[in-house]
Amino acid sequence: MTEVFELMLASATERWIELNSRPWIRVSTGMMGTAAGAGATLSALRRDVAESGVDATISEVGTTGLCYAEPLVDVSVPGRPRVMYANVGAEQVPEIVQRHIKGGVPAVELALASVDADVPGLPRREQLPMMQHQVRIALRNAGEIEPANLDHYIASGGFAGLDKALSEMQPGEVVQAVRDSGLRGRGGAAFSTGTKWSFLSGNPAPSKYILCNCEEGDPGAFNDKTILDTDPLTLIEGCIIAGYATGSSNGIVFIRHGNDSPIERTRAAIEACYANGILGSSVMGTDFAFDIEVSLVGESYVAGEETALMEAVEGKRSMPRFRPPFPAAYGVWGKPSNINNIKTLSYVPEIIRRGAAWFNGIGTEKSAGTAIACLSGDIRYAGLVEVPFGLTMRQVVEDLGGGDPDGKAIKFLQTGGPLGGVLPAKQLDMVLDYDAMAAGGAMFGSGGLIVCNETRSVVDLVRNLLAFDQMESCGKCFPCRLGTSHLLEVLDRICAGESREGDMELMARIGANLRAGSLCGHGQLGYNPVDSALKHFGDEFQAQMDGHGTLPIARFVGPQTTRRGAQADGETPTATVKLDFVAKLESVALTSAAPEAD
Amino acid sequence: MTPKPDSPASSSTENDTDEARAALRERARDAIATQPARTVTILSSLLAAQDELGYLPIEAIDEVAQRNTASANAVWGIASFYPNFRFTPPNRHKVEICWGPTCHVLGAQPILQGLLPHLGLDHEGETVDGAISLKLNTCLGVCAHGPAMSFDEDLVGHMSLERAIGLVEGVKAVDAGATKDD
Repeated sequence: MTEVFELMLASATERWIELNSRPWIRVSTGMMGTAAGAGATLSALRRDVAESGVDATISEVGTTGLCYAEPLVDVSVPGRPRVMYANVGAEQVPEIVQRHIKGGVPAVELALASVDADVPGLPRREQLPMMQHQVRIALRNAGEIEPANLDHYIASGGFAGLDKALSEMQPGEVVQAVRDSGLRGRGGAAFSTGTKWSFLSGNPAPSKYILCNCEEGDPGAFNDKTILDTDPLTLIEGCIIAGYATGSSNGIVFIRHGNDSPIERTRAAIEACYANGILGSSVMGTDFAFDIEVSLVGESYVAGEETALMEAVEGKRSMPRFRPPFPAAYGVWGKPSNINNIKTLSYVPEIIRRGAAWFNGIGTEKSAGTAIACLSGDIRYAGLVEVPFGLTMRQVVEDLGGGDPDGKAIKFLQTGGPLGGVLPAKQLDMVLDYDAMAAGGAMFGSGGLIVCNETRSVVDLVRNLLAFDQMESCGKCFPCRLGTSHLLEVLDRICAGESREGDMELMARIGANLRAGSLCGHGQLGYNPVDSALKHFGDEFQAQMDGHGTLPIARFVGPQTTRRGAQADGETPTATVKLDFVAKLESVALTSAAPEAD
Repeated sequence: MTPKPDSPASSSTENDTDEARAALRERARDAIATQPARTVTILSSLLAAQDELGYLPIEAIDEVAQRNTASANAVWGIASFYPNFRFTPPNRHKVEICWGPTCHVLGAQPILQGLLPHLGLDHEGETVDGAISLKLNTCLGVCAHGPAMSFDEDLVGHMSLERAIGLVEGVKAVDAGATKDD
């Protein structure tokens, strides 16, 4: 153990004990909690606790993953069982404060579950339907600790992995441990993380980069933002370990502008690490130096592609680069770089702390560890679950998710993001495993599972996905730029009941061109939603095209902008303004001489 | 060398005086100089300028170009690529509605199509009373609480048309209060 960490651990433990000697109330805020109304709950709690005179700590934490129960308030009073309260609006707060926080007796009829001890009339947290089968590694601290609080993180086992790597392991041994753990990239490609790291560690360049991708433009996925919102220190620790293992000294965490709470919490966590010698010129007192900064990108789905991400870090349009050269040879700013998804890096601290064999023992033979799934749509228990690979989709959707809230039959899942496809209910017994899913023609991708019941039109959903793919096409390759637009036109007329003879064949031709002619996955996979829908729901498509569709498809009002500055339906006021703007820009450019050098 | 404050006016608002435009330039320059990013790029500077001004006036584009030793054309090329940048002043309040697939399944379209006539709009854009800028967002990131909207950056889930109209009227009412105080 490094001396620096020994001291940190001692003081963190002391403060943790002190914290737990008084009532401690955790409220899940961040993006998820706020959207459920946690802001009002938090204000009411602060006011009522202050008025009650109880000396309690109120912490803002990230979501526990039990999003359906938000706003969620978690009360622990020393010597009493810890209890979680679900769907707490400001009007329930006085009751909870008076009876539990002040009086010490849980308000059972308002509560969701108890934690670590039994309370008559309440289930234990692990007995909740949504918590069954869960094994929490990347989400181990979700809702448990303050997101950017070093003491909380260290007292919960944090930075022990980094300390072990720095004090007991050579960089090569860390790479080997990650390889032995069987960890595969969680961004979608499922490539061996240890092998990927070895490409970078073999490069002798003095300046190398670890890039962490938290762009998460996938609609339907919210696990990256949740990790940043609940426990950014896990990611930071994983980044530093990756830097040590590969001999890199720079880390960049890449987040979409606009996700304010994850950005603020990540920045606060990075600052805390600098202030305590965990980042900077001497990581934990050793001669290993590592810096991390947050890089923000504008709205762009393609920016999640690894070379497009590097372009965005450099401040350009997020358009993919040609490969080779690969990032490990020529990455951001031309420096050797390694890019991992945030979920991948968030497993690393526990892999190092608990050993490769421990991680490899979880999940299936070829898919080690856990999968983080985001459940949304027609589902009773919406939120995040972290489950070992090897469960079936049915277990995830029906056991953990509770199925449709009104008991309707589930018709299909939309998986793998907007470039993924639809998985019909008859395939719900598919095992959660990279290879089994690929063999079955499905994608787990970044983990979004959108559940659709029997009343939903697959044609309508596919049109929505293609509208996204069209808008997000970066425009670099014309098969993607034009193909997605063309495909959307065809889908629009199918939805409007105006399909033409030969539309089916036309879509297949466009799809083949997209796949063959696009540089990156956006175009290559852009036909997936249509393709999988035709495969599993061909009859429904055909009926809609023949004018016998049974499920209503409403008019669709989509976005006006595309990222080519052009407009979806020709000249609009916005387009005119932009043209006017360009003309003005030229006049300014003429009056403004070349800028002087700094 | 600092270019002259802008000559041709973009729109005929009362803010379109030389002084107002010089002030915009000043604010853009300060925002670019004090941005939180350690590695300053054209993109990071554009984000900082828009965060401060709510849009990218021509002065901001020019300031970003100067700070990054780039041409105004290069900066425009990047700014026009990302749909979160806008080039005309927004209305007083920003309302976003998510059209991601989860929100779509859970009824975002009926909410949007009910809200549009309420605001007097045909699609996303600015209301004529200057109160609301309505924007479609590809995913607000809170799918578990869909359908989702945001009102001046505050996320609200479990949306219905009635609730959306109520919240829109709520943000407008803030203005009424503010005007009385002035």
